[in-house]
Amino acid sequence: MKNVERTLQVLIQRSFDGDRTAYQQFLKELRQLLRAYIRRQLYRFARTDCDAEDIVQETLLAIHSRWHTYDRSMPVTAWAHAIARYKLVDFLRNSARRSRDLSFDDIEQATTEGYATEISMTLSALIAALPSNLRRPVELVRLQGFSVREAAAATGLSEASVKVNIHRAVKAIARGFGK
Amino acid sequence: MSTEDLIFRLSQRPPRESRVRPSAVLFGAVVLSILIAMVISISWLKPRSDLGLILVLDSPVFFLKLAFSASVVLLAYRIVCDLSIPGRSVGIRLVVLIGFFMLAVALVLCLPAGQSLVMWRDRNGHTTLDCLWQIPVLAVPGLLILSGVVRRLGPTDLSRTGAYVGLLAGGIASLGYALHCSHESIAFVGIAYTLAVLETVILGAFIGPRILRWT
Repeated sequence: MKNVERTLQVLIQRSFDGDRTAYQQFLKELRQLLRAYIRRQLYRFARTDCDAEDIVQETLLAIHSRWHTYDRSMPVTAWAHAIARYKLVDFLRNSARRSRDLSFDDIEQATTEGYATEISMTLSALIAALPSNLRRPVELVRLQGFSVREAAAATGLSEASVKVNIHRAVKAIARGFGK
Repeated sequence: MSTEDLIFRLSQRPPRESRVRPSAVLFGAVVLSILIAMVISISWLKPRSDLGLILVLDSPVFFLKLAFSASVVLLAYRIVCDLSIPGRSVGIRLVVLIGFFMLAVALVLCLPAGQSLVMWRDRNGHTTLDCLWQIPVLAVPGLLILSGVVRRLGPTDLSRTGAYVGLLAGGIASLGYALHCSHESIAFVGIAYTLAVLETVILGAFIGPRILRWT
């Protein structure tokens, strides 16, 4: 672990000097650490149905946007793990809330409406059940036809985050249809 | 998007080391909140009539109120700084806080015989109840300003951070309230101010997970 910490410290110092390759390497090293940590935690919470990679991506995005809170005096692994833990808890809390919100509406719609209406309403319910950081980009780009740049400006997210969140929202919707 | 693609995209914009320390940003927010609390206290509650003569009158209780409030602010500021940084352990142990509030509880023993805590009046007719709702109201602007700043940092334990932001805002509000309050009893300061600050702690802990959440 000490070796990993030392490697990450060196890479992040080079990244601060503008070295893109070092930063890419830093993020790759971190991904390995985070993936193992998040998988362990999902297993511990008996939530192996969740996609660990989604949480890894959320964590990497959060790390990228929170560098102003990094302090050289503390281990970068401790800092990154604290962010990963926060993202994991947030993800688990949201996914629990989403599954609670969906159940009754879905059952009612499936039994009373025609197939097309059912699909449309299920889709609406799934989109409505998404957390706001996933729902807004999908609504703006996929439903209302705004560009990624416009959606980024409207939501205050970066363009990369908008794309990632759309991708994640589509995956969540597909999971809702059982695919 | 695969994680590989995401890493490639993110790596196109390597981070810059921040020159402004989070503690400095938070300190600025504390100073702004103190100024706002004082302005609201003076314009809404009106300053105590002898405020201009306070140095001449040599009122130790007035300075005790300032010292109490300032120590709450300093203590809470230190803890909020730590809680706003992911992965940093809190430098001050809970036992210090408990000791702080135990001291206030001990002051209850100083209550004059037969004195009602709730209806304890000063010479202008203000009671403990006034203190218990006016300090939390004075704390609201500070609570919002500080929450906004802390949210832009990286709190990872939102209820706990919210509680300490409430403590900080409560301390700031009691600084402002001291300009208005003309109670001249040490026991009053210990009991009423502590209870009022505890209200803001509870408010902060309640709203913390909602307003400090960052994505």
